[in-house]
Amino acid sequence: MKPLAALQATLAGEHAAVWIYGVLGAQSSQSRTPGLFDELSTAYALHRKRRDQLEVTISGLDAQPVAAQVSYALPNPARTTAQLRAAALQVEQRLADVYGQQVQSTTHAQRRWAIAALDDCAVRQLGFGGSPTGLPGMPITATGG
Amino acid sequence: MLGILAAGAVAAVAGGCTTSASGHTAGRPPAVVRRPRGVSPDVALAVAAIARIGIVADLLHRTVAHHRGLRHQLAGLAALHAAHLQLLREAVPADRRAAARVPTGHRGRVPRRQQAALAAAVQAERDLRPQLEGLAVRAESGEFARLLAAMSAAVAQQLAAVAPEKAVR
Repeated sequence: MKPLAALQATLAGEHAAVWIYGVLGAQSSQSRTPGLFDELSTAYALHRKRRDQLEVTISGLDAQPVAAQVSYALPNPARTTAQLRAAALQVEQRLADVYGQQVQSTTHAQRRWAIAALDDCAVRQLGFGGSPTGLPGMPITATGG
Repeated sequence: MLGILAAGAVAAVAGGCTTSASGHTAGRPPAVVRRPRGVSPDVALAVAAIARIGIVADLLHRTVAHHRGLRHQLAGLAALHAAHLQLLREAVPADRRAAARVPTGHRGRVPRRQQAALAAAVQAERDLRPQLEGLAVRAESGEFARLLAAMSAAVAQQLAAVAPEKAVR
């Protein structure tokens, strides 16, 4: 994948993340589940910041940043606390793969930035109930062993 | 533990190596060859990564040997390093494997107090992450860069479980 295409794919992923986190935050209760509400709010702010950074980066390459879609499919109905956590986890897992692709497709500062974002996605997954994995953000081939 | 093979990344490194058996061009005596020729820069990075992960893995091993109470707490990191080392060794061509060994002489002392030993191990892991990330930035193969970045992210996840307050940069 060309570097610009990777950046655009990452931006598309962040557009989706911002939209989904917005819904998840609205569905969570600050009074009943303050911890989850804080985690979702923090994630929303972080991904919005990354989205903005990507738009600046892509514009700086004399390209038109990919636009957000009107809406995105939620990973699940997002009604219960468990569903909210599962949806957030899925967002971070998808983004880890996207950032892994950006690491692969870019160099220098863009790669370094993607590495930091991949780290963050990997750790944030744990807060939403994920488990540590051997190679977050890496496409893997099962060997059966 | 992993049950996986990052085949593309490993192949990207190993396939990038063009080392010849002789290490020099025909008609030129070996004496004028100043460094191994044709070795992919990423092979050199893989060798460096093996050394750095190996040093930390060795420290973990000795820490657990001295402080059995830390065995379960550090088991995930130890297994992770073993799996990563195996992947990296597969990336190094056979004729470079002698260089891909954990260096001696870098063995940090294991503190006598358990909590201090845990802190030292966590610090070593924290120090490893920017080293792996630096190697990822330098990698010529994008796939290998991704592999090294994924290894750093995996260490970050384990650190979040072992020492949550120290996992975030």
